[in-house]
Amino acid sequence: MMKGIRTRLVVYFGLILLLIVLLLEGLFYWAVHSYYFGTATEALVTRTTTFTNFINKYTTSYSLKDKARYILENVSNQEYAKVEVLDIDGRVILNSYGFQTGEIIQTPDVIDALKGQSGLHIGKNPKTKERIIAVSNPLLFANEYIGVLRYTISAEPLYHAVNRIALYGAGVGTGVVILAFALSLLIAKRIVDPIKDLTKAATQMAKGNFTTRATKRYDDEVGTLADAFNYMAAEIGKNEKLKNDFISSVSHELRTPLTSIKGWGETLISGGLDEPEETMLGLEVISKETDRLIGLVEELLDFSKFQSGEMKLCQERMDIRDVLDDLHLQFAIRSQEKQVDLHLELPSSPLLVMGDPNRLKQVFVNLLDNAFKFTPLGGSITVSAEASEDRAIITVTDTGEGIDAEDLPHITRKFYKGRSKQSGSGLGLAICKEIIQLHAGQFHVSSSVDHGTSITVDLPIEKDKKG
Amino acid sequence: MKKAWLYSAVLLAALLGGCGFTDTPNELMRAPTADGDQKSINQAVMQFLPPGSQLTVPLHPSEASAVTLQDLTGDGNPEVVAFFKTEKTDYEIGVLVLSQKQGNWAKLSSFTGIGSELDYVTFEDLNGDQLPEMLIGLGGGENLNKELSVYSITQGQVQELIKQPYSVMAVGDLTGNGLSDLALVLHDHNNLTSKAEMYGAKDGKLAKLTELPLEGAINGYEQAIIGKASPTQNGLFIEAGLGAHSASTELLVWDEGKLHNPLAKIDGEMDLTFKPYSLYSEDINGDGIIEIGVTTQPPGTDDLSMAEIPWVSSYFQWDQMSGLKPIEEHYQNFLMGYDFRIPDKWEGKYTITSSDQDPNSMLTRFFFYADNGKTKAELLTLQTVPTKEWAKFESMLKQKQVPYIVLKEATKQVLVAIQPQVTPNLGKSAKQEYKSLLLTPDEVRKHYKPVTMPM
Repeated sequence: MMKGIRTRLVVYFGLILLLIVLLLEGLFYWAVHSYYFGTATEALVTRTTTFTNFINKYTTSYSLKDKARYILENVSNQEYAKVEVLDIDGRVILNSYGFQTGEIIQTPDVIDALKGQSGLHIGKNPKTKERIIAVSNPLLFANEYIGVLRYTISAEPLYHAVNRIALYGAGVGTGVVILAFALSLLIAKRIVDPIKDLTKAATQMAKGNFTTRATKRYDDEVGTLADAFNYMAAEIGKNEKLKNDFISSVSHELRTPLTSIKGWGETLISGGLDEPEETMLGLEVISKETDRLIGLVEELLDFSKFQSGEMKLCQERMDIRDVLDDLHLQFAIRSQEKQVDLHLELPSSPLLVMGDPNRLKQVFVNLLDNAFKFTPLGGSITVSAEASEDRAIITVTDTGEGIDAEDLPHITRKFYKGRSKQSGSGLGLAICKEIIQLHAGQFHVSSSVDHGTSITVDLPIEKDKKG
Repeated sequence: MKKAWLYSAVLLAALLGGCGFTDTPNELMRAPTADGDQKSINQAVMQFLPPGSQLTVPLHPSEASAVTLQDLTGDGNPEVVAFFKTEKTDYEIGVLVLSQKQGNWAKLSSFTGIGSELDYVTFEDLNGDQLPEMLIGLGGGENLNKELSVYSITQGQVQELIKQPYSVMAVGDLTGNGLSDLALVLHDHNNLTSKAEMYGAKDGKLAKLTELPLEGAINGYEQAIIGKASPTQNGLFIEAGLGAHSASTELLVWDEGKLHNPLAKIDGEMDLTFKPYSLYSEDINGDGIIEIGVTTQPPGTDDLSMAEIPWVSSYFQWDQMSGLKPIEEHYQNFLMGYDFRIPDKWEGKYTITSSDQDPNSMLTRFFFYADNGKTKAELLTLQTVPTKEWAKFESMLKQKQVPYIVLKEATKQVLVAIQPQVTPNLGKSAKQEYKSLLLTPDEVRKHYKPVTMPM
């Protein structure tokens, strides 16, 4: 995989660049070739045509032989091209070296010139295989074509120059391709290395080492992935700790009532049933502690139902005021015992919601239970309900010790118990939140330490069918 | 990746911007190297020429050139002979001889002769030593006499063997002994005398073999050639100009150590080779024997002026006695650019009218001619049509269903042969004869050839 990305990067970059370099090299060769041959050919054509026009204009009465002599005597000493005069059959009757070779030339330029056109030929000399550029123009006598004036230069130096320049170009191209390969290797390394690190970290985490952290090298996608990985590891670690805390706290919660049940049981066994008063007390304690155990187990069952998604609501139209009224009565005794004021503020009109009365009651029991748990002597607890637009808002406010700001976001999470070492499974608020959310409601906690906590539940109002 | 592009762009820019490491196209233009020999010889010649000199080409013969390779010393390696004119004076022609020494060209000799033009150059063994001599004829200009010098190279020294004035000259085997001879024909314009001189090998040396006085009352000599006069005998054919345009040909043959003119004009008789217009002797039919050309007048053209007569070129061979036998007749028209050989079956039975005044439509017509012009019927018409009007003309011919043969499609004009469409009103025998004279298209093509322009 790691090798895969690197190889692919190098190959793709290399191929793309190779293609571009080849294309540019081709264009470059074509341009240089056109420039060299175009310039040389144009110069040659210009010179030949000018000289032929001159000869045709001023030596009209000369025979071909006389024209040839005139041409030989008037060709510049600096003339670099080979100049030939050909007769009507293409036979060389004089060249600029002073020779009459008698050789018959039938290249396309000569054939064109014999037809009266200006002929240009770039090709091989059929005899010597040398590449040449030849330009031919017809010579006139009494308006008839009697011969050809032909200029020839060697194309070899031009090919040589063009090839040399193209070779330089190819060298540069090769350099660029090699550079691109090196750079792509470097880039591949920069991409692959963080992924490698991440893989290592993930392997460590899979082995259960959640303290491992992936290093974030660059602030890019892989960097973000590393962050996400680290976050995930941290969360898993936290959950692990929560789970362990839960097990120890649940064990503790379960053990406390069991200890007292066992204690009283042994007392009753050893003491016999002589003292009916003491026996009654013992049995009451056993029954109460058993209730506590049942409540604890109920909570765990509820929680496991939520976890598996098996929680079903039996919803019906109900007035939330009835539930709160019931609770007020239910907690009246406890409020007297703890000397905590419990106020109930309800609107005069019904607050109709669609809900499961038992579950909603469970929520508010839990909330009030918590409020009583954390509100000291002489404090007060207010339960208020009001309708705001289409929401029914129920607030439970206490003047208790409050919740630390850092715990606040976590208190509705399962098994979270915060800094308080109060008894409980740590599932109460988590279950409340789940129930409210199943009712399409919202659960909100605000708190300030030493001043109290306020928990707001808002539920959608079920519109009166008439209204 | 971006960096890679930057580097390549910079490198390319440096490459294109600083093209200094190679030459520009114009600096790279040079002559083909394949003709290395000729080029190096030319460079060597130029190196030894006096500054400001130019090579010059001999006027005759046509195959002579300014620089020639010729083994003059017999060592197996050719020498270079170059002719040049100097800047200093127009009246001197220079000769440069280079020989090869250890692969390099070295000057063997350089000399100049007086003359404004190089009339004749050839390399022939005249003295029988198996080594060619240099024959260099210099002249002062048109219609002036010239001077021939014969040089040989012995022990690295150029030696002048003879120096003789001439009007026209020819080199060839006249005696028939396999060795080349030199014939000089000299006309003295002031004294109106002429003579022909023969030079050749005599006891291993170049010497005058014989000479023959010729008719001196002439205008001048135009050409001399040596060639076969008959299957068995060689001859010297001398073209003499008589008047403004009339001419005659003298044939000289070798006869027991003497020159002899078998066609010499006998007093009171007509000169056999007299021609109103000059016509040079040549081997017209390619049989290896030189024919003497005489311009003759077709019948029925007596009323025309000299310039208007469509002169027929008649060619004759010497009959080895004192007469001529007809070989071929041609009608040559330089303006229309053709040479039409008269079919043998037409001989004596045809005449020609030609109108070439209008350059847009030049016309030659050949007629069956008998009974002193009482019987006259068209056999063939040759016509030139300007190329740009040809398509129109051709469609007209097709429309009228005229039989025609395109002989030459040149850039400017098309030459077409038009055959008669209707049989003329003739007597029975005349009609039969007329029909026998008509040509098939193939025959027309066979008798046509493009006229050769004077070189």
